[in-house]
Amino acid sequence: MDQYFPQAGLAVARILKRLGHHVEYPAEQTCCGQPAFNAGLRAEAAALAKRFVRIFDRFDAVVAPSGSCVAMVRNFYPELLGDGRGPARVPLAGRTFEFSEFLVDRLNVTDLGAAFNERVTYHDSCHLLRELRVQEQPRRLLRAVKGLELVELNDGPACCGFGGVFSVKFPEVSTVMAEDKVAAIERTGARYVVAGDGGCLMHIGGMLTRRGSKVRPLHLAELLGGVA
Amino acid sequence: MMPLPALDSQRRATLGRALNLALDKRRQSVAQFPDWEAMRQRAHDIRAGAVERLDEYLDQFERAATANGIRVVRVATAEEACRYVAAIAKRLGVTTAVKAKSMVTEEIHLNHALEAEGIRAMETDLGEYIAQLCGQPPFHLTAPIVHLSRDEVGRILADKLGVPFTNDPTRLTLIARDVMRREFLTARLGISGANFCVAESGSLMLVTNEGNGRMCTTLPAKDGPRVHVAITGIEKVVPTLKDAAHLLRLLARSGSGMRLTAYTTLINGPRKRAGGDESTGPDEVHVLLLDNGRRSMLRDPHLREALYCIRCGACSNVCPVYHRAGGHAYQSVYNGPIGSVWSPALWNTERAATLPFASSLCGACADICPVKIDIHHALLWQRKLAADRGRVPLWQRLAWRAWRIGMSWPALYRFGSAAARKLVGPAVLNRLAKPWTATRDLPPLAAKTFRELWKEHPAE
Ligand code: SF4
Repeated sequence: MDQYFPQAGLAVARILKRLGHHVEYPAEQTCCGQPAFNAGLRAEAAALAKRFVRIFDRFDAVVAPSGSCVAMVRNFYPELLGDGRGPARVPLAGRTFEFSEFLVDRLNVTDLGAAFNERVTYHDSCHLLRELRVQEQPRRLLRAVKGLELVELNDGPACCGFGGVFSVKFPEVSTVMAEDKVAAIERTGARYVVAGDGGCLMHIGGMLTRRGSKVRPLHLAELLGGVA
Repeated sequence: MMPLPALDSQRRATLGRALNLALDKRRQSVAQFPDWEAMRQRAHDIRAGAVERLDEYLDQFERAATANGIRVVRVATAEEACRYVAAIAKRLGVTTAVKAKSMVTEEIHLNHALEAEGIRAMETDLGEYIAQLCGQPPFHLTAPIVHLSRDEVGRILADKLGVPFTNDPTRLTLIARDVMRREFLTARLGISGANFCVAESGSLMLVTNEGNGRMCTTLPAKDGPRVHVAITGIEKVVPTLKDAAHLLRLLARSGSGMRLTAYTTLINGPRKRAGGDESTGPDEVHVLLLDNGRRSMLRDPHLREALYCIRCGACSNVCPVYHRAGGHAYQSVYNGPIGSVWSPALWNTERAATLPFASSLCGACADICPVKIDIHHALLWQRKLAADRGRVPLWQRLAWRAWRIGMSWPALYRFGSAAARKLVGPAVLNRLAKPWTATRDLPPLAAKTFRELWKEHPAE
């Protein structure tokens, strides 16, 4: 987010503020540790997880525009920070939310008053869909956008092939997955593919531009925040 | 890390069609059960109960099966199992054995071991038979030649058997059946696996689609003693017949969408002699209960669940990596998502250690698994074990350490991000990310990071 999609982060802050919440960005934050965790290096991941908890524990809620980071904190921190006999109690895990689920489930907001006169398709990021079971929330937010036509992808819902280091360690398979994903996106006739995870957007976006496609990747928060 | 190549696009299309057909049929089949989720949970609980008290149930099975006249043998390793079967073949003086499809016999490479002793093991499952004809391992847990088109199968049979070419499935089946019939009628050694070992009754449950399982285990030959050997993993035990029946309801539906496999065979022991009321059936039934690394999974709470697997193949059908790479790319008897959990537990090889990393962790496997194994989380655990065992090269471990230190000090992180923009530049970044950029663009780094923008307008 920091490096590639700063606008999505700004959009989240803007939306939450508009809804009357006090938003802070602790500048000392870096990474939740997920890449090392997925690489099998749990000690490195645990060091960053502890750091994350230390930095964020004082907040009522932590909201991230990224399904996989939230899944890391909510689903894997207890196991990662456990003592080997069982999972640790990590209260912060219960207060960490993905952006769209926070709006819809916690704040009961679906209509943000945004307008977007385009045909859009939504990509279910695996971590949102299967780790966090966030499927309807982003769709409800999108359907409330004036002028927006939501066309569903008809592919599974399949993974885009990103998978963090998987995309560089197994580039052949990952590439074919991205190609199939992009083909499915193009079949919808949408101008934008929206997702809630930076990794997928990078991967899908990288394949879209490589194939000279006119479809643009767009983070859900950016669309709702009206930056696009 | 060893590579996992992708199949060419034509092969992917053939494979994809077959797998998607199975998935479609599964979806329709499952839709008829409003309580499918509850059925999965029950299946999970049955398998969990069995695996949690594995030794108890194994003992119970052994007692009951022995009382039925079955010889139950515990074997620790693949070699031990192969030696046992070869010894039986020698005792019987046979040079041919007929085999029903069994993944465990693939796992222990039984056919090779028997061949080395001059015994020909003939596969009698149609798919497995064709795979054997071309000298290939099975491509899929339940569908050994799912990657081949009808034309290809026709050409293989024409080639290897010298029959006229046809691509008509019925004719192809009849050709193979002709060959097999002859073998079935004279075979005195039959080899199979077992889908379930039922503890309460000491019986074996075996499902097949062509009835070949029944032929391999009843052995209609007339001359001389006949022996059926079933080789299966220790985890296949279930407490009751009712439990097995429940699992059966999910097994075929999950894998192929069929309500049941065509033949379900329940084996309660050898032919009874007293009273002479049974004319068919073998004189001896042996059951080999194989460990071969399974106990290492049993001991690890993070891997134990993988032992619940009933080998339905659904996780492969739905796996995006399996769809693109295909079964042979794994170079492991057990391929697909669950195979990547099992393989490193069974084989301490570089190849097996690579497999858990060859996943995008999308989790589609866990969602489809009829016994609700958290397959992708088990893959994450196998990655950890691989790192613990030094399977992650030193330079990578050092790189991760450096990364962690960078991420622990915001100043270092900011320096790195500024350096990437000002000193290194996009051309070098693209080169560094070659495996990515060869086929995909790397989006440009944002001109300003979030933290810079935030600093400028925190209260925007
Ligand atoms: S892990 Fe589950 S889905 Fe995969 S083969 Fe085993 S039972 Fe079937």
